[in-house]
Amino acid sequence: MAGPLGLPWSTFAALLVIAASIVIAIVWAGARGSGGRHDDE
Amino acid sequence: MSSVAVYGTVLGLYLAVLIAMGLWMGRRTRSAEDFYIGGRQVGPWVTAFSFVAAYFSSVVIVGGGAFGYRFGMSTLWIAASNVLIGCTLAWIVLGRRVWEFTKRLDTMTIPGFIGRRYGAREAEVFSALVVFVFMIVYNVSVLVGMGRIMEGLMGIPYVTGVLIAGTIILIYVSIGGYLAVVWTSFVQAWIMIFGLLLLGFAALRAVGGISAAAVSLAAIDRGLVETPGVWGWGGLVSFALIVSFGVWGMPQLLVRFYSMKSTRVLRLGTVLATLGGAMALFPYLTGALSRLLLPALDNPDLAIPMLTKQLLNPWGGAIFLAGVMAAGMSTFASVLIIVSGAIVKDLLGGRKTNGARIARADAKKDPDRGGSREVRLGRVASLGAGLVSLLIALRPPALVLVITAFAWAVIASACLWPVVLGVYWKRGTRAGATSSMIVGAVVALGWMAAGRPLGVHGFIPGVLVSLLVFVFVSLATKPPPRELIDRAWGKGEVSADV
Repeated sequence: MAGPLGLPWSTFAALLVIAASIVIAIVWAGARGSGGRHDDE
Repeated sequence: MSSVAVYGTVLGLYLAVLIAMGLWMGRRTRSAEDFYIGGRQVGPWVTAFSFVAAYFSSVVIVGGGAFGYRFGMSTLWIAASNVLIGCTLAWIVLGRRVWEFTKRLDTMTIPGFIGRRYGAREAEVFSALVVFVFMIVYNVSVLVGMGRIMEGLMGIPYVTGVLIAGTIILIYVSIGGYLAVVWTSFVQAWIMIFGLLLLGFAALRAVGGISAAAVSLAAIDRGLVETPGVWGWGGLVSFALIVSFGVWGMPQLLVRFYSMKSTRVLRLGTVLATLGGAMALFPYLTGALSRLLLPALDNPDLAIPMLTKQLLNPWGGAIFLAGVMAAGMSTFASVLIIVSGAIVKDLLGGRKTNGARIARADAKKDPDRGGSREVRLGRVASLGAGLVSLLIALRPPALVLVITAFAWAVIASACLWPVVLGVYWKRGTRAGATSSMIVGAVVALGWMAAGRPLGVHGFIPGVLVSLLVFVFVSLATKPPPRELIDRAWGKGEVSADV
């Protein structure tokens, strides 16, 4: 069954994984920056 | 201006910039630590984008296009695994710990880390040998890829192309060391991204957008738009894992973590590496689209070069060629500095010199002598290793080309668990690490030599068996000495992490 962009959902999900990776990286960096773990200098 | 003149101008300018950067960085390279890890002073932008440039070689761009051409849109999953596992998770899971452990253990190489973490000189020598042999072979494949694309796009004879690319890399790596590698890779990453976007969007425009392309591809074969489609699960998953999870054991990428100036670099660096890694999408997508634009190609490896000729004007084509050259040169240079480290620090250095500490002691007695001697050795070793790859690439024997397909699998199968468990599992022992490395490399090599049974890449059995061997042998042998663990984990942090 066709999903967004005319691709099947099973293939379109690959693009979602890339978008999710970017979100994960930003959230993780934000969490470390807002008083998370200590950073070494 | 003729197209040859345009290509010549763009490439000439680009190569001149690389040499200038090498000479400039050479002035800043005084100690062995500078030569191998940039004095641990590299910031987030350069660390992240040089990671991405070293990750994706010209083989990935041309080969990725070929995979897209043959297997269609399901290859987008390879790009997705590159980004999630090879970039985002690799940085989050390994970045901080690899930085801390290599600093505490005072080592500049991955074989050196393995040797000191487990107190195992034999593991250090074995991993250095694996790195030495298979990285030289891997570099041959990178040079061959560059030579072929220069021949295809510019009509430069293969041998001349290999000589031009190889010689320039040798100059800037041997003079400028790691700093030249990361700074040139930083510039090269942007050229790669720009070149891939240029060709990718030109291809999308030519096919009328991605939705129209999906309909047209499905009309040829539904397997070209579905997952796993015509490739099948075995081939797709195992290939996606080798080129993403395999990164966790690749020394030329792990070095980026311990050359950072602090773990603060990880915050912005993780985001930048993820964004930069997303460029992996384009070779596969463009390759899949080229199936519509070049329907009767005998050799899918020609998909990207032919598409470049068909869709881009000479200036665009020259920029794309510079991007492909950038991908190859940054990978070749990154690997070269790792091979040099394996020779000088791990194979020749060993216990006698005890790496950086002795260099520093030498430098104290005579500030110039200790550092510059190791730097000279490093330069000679990188020059020698590069020349070997260059000479083989001029007329590569069939056997070498076969082995290049094994290189990533063998290195990753040997090094991955000793590195990952080395920074997370205190119970891992000398015998566990050494046996897992040997078995992992042999299984990966044997599986590939047997013709990839079940269509599965040798990395999968290699890495699975090496994990099992690591865990069982470690649990069956005496725990590592307390002082070894204290040194690796740092005193005071031990109880919190047990």
